[in-house]
Amino acid sequence: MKKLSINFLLVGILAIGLQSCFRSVSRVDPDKEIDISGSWNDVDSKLTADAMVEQVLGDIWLKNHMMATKEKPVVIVGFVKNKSHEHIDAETFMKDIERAFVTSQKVRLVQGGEKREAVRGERADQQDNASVSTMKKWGLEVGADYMMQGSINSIVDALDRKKVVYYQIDLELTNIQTNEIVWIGDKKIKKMVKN
Amino acid sequence: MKTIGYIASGLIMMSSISAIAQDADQNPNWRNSAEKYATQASDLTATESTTIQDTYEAYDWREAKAEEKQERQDRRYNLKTMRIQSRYNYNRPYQYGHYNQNNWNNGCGNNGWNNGFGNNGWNNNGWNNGYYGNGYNNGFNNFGYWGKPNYTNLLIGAGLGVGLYYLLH
Repeated sequence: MKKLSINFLLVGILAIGLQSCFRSVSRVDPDKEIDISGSWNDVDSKLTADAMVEQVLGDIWLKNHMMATKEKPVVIVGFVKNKSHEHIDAETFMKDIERAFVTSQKVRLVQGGEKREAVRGERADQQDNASVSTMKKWGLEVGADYMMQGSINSIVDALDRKKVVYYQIDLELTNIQTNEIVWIGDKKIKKMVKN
Repeated sequence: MKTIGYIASGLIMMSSISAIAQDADQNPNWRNSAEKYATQASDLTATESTTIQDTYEAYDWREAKAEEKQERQDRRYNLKTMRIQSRYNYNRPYQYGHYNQNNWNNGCGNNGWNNGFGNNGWNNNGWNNGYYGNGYNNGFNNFGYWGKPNYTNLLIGAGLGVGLYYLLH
């Protein structure tokens, strides 16, 4: 009896010791919806991107611009302000929107921020190092017609083990010449989290 | 030389602004605005294509409760250590003071032992922060010992354990 209990104890210790050795990792489809904590995740980002792409490319502002200028609008992406309760990087859905602009060929996109600075740095470098025939000139960049800016807001309502989280993502296009807002798109996401 | 460069670039900027022709409906004071924003352009465009984080802390009932519990535990632990320490300090001079007042009490009691172990080493830096804040508790929790155990792995482990036991015997 005593020997049996010692054996059980040994098996128990071995089991606890071995459980930390097992870890499973598997690849899943990026489109598969997986919610673990209830926080902002890839599914929310994708839903936002899909909704925004549909709205921005299907709205009347595009038609109005084409009718007025006979040219495709040129857009630059400004900042997105995250005023929610979570750390959210808007780049995940903003890049999807930018990609849609480029692939749809309906909107032209120009670089801004740090990347534009890097491009200008390269151009400056070419003035000293590239051959005259391939050297790029200053002052020939395409000026943007519109700037896209946005904000992320959230409202949290929690009691005991239940929590309702509401996210509102707003994007808008402003005419750089006239300061007129020509398009506002939004995506609202509401989540019920039970712990 | 640098100042001359700044003046020259400023003059070039001014001349380029004044070279722009005025439209019929354009505000005649547009130059004021152009000069004002020409100097701030690089700062104002620095946030392009970025996310400005301006988050707030939402009240979470469960997190607040866990925080309160942790604070309670910390307070209790501190009281306990203070009690032990005060008992130690009270007993020390009675036991050793008379016999070895200079060496033990000053060297070990006040500077070496008490500060090293009691105040700096054990309580403040080593044990207390390590145990509750960074080292012990978090480290332990993350590796799953104090959290919910993985029952599947536990069963697999038990099975392997039994198998090993019968193989060896």
